[in-house]
Amino acid sequence: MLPGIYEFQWTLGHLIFLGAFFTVLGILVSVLFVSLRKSRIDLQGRRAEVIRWQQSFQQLPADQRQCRHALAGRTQPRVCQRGFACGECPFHARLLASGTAPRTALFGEGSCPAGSGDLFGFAMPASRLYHRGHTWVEQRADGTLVAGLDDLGSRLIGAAPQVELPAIGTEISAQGTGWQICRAGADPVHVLAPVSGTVIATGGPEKGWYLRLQPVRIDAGLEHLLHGEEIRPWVQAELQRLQRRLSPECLGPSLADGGLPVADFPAAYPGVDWDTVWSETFLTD
Amino acid sequence: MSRNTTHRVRYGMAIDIDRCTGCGACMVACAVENNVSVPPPPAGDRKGLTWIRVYRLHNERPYPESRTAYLPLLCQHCGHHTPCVSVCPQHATDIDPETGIVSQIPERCLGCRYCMAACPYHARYFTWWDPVWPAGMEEIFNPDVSPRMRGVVEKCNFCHGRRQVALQRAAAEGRRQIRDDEYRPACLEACPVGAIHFGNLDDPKQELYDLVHGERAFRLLERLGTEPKIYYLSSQPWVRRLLHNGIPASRRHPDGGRPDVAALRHQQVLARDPRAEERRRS
Amino acid sequence: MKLASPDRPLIMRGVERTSLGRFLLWLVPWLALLAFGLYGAYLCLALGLNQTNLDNRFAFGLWIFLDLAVIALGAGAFFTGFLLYILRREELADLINSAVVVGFVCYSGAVVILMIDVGQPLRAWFTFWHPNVHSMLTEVTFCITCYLLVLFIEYIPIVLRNRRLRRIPAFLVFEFNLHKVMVVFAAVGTFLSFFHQGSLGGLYGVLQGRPFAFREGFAIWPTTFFLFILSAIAVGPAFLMLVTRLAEALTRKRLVHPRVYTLLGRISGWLLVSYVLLKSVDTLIWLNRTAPAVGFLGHDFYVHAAFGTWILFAEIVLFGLAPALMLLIPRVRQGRWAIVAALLACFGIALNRFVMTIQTLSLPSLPFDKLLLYWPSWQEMASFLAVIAYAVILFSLSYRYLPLYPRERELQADRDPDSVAPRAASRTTLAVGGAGAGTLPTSRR
Repeated sequence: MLPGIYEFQWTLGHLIFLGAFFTVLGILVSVLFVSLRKSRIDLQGRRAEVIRWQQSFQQLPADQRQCRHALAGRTQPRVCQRGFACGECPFHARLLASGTAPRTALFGEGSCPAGSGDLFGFAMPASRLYHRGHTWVEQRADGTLVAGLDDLGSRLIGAAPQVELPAIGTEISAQGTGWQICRAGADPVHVLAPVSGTVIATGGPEKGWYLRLQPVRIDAGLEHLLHGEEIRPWVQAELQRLQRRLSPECLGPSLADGGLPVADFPAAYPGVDWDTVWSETFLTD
Repeated sequence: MSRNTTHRVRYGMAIDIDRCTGCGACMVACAVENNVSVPPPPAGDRKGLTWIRVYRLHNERPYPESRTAYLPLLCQHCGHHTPCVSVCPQHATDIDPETGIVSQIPERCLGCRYCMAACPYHARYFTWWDPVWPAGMEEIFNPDVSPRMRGVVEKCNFCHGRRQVALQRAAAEGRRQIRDDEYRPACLEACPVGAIHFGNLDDPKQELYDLVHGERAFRLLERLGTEPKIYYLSSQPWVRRLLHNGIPASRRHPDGGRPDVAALRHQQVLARDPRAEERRRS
Repeated sequence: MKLASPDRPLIMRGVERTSLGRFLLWLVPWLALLAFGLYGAYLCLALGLNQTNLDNRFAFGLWIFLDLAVIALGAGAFFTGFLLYILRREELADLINSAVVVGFVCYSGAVVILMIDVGQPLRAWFTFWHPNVHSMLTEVTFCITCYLLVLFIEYIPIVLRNRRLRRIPAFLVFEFNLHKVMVVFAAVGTFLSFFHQGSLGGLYGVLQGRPFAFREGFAIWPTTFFLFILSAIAVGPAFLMLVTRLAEALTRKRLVHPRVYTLLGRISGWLLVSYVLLKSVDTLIWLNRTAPAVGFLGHDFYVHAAFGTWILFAEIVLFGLAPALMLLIPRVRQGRWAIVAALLACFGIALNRFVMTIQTLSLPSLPFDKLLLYWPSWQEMASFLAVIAYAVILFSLSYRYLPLYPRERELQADRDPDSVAPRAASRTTLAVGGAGAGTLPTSRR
């Protein structure tokens, strides 16, 4: 019987029992309320993309989370725990300080080797910086950045995709959704933005899809991008992974024989679960 | 439930098995008094509705030693750790500290039937059907008792409605208490042989007091320790053996010490085969 | 392009699911059973409980027995949560989502059946308004209601992890925040489960008027209170093992790492052994002390042909000690016999609940009364079959569209013939660095 009910009396039993019950109920409701409130704050602070990346990163298999320095052979195999945010990584800072790893080459420092950048038949110019989600970034003289899908990525998507670029003026953030690509009959692929910035111009199909961005940070925030000698081992590891995925029997796009990779992978491998391959390649869920 | 009451009674009953003829008048009177509905025929004796049920006892012996007795079984109004009251999750059954009557509040009853599982006397009944009465019987409803809806538990409450009426009448006459003869359950009035006695168990002046403290009195399943307030009277050894549940007559209130397993076993052997003792002696 | 099911966009990436047509075909018989059972339940609700074969003596029947059994089997949900979030047995992360769903279907099914079982379902809230704090049933009602809420909250993030739902930022963020506080829900769930599992046992142990069920105890709790908790947490993991094995057999896939079974078997085995031990002690005390004190000899309970001493033997030895010992032997635990042991254990706990509910009520308490038997009506059985169908349907839907087994994709990839070694198994091993990965047991067949 509760207070206010006819013949109600407080006894020790009532105190203990109702006390325990309402404590439990209170905990449940308040924890639920706190989560709802935090969700609201996160939504207002536009943290959804950050959270999405955190979760996608957690679900990546270990070989896709290898540290860039491990890929480049500078250190023992090492799995990244920070969502590829090298700028915040003390290990990265240590290697930079000791000179084991070169700093990110920025435009004008002249450390970028020239050339078409042919890597295993893919055009991956070493003058660009690469995001692990198969996008590239180039810094222009005026301080703006240009970002696009790399050659391996575009071939995996294949021919004639529908691309949905963000509108000019949109702020995009690194590891958030950069743009969407949709191939007919498939779920749209979210391509991760390689850097943070405000979209100031976009390029259509005739010039190759790209975004021109005004960086948010003064130093452009490029520490997490792969460059120089890191590109080759990364592409190699990616190709090995794709090879396993596309042709488990090792009969597929054999790279050792010097043949050129096809331009439209989905057309060449119709039996493959492309939806999954894309999500693994572009690191989105 | 310790309310300060100036006047406490402990209503109880003594039923003389040796007198009971099993006529069932008490059952009929009870049903009429308490507006007990009449379940449709599929009910049978397992889903039926009655607040007092007359069981037939038999000594399981062939003629000429064959003996039969009848046992009217109603709510025993257990006075200690009342099994049904302690288990009801929502106080739909209650023991009134003023009268010792265990009452049911059908309007609050959930129909979970936990009290029925808890009652060792099977004295609680569930309304399996919507309440219906033979045509015209609604005309003679007792206005002092509200009929019960489907899906609740109901049981004997010592004709609580009658007590209320008696209290009202007493109040109208300026009295705060009712006289002994003013409140008697319907079954008692209906019994043609006067087998049922009712009154305050704590009042030594009443006839009931002598009956329940007499040699013929015993209670059902006394050893469970629930202190039922219905006493049964019998002088027939086979009835006493059958119903005693193996409790020595001298030990009405078990002291709670170590049980006398050997004595119990002996009693049980006797209950099954009354001649065993004689054979052993001879 | 591979011809995809129309519902492919709803299915998690990287996992194989049967075609939509086959899935619907699988659901059809269960939906039919559900419809049939709902009709039976409707009859009980509309026409009253006269539709059942329950009666004034058999106040509880099939429903209560199966509710108790199902709730005991569903204990795997809270116990796995406890082991994972509180004791940090990370390997159980493989299984926690399915455990939550199993717990949810068990508990929600039991509550639905209870609502049909009571005569006045609309008065269920009265217990919260006029609680008799001395009744075990009050505790059960409060705890199960709260725990069902906990299970529901635990289910939300699993649902929100669906590929389509995750796209909606609000859901994604809510799931993320809810998952962060899951340890609180696991702790509260553990607390509640301990009490209601125990109170379900106490429900019978306190019945002073029923010497077959009555037990002495500690403070306000009879021994059945503790035995029910112990048996529930012993058999919960075993039941999860069965469900997962069944899911693996039906989908012809490996869903969890084999070491999960080893762990579950070991936990179940040790708990079962202690349960059987304590149950035996309790039985001896009851037969020699408790029952005689209230006027009954142990012998009285087992004179009836239907419930002879064999039922005691079956409950404690055949379906208690035997599976417990089987689960304790490592070779048996890891082999196919583990399934048999788990099955025996689950059956044993169901038998225990049967004895406590059905046998208690069928044994006579009045000296002139007889043993009474009861057979449930089709409406009773149908209502319960509806719950089974509901459980299968909800589990199937969850399996198809939600990440019930988070490592399924990884285990699937491991089975690919050309898979290479460096594929670390879990976050704990990852912390050591990739070098440790190669030393993990491989699950390749």
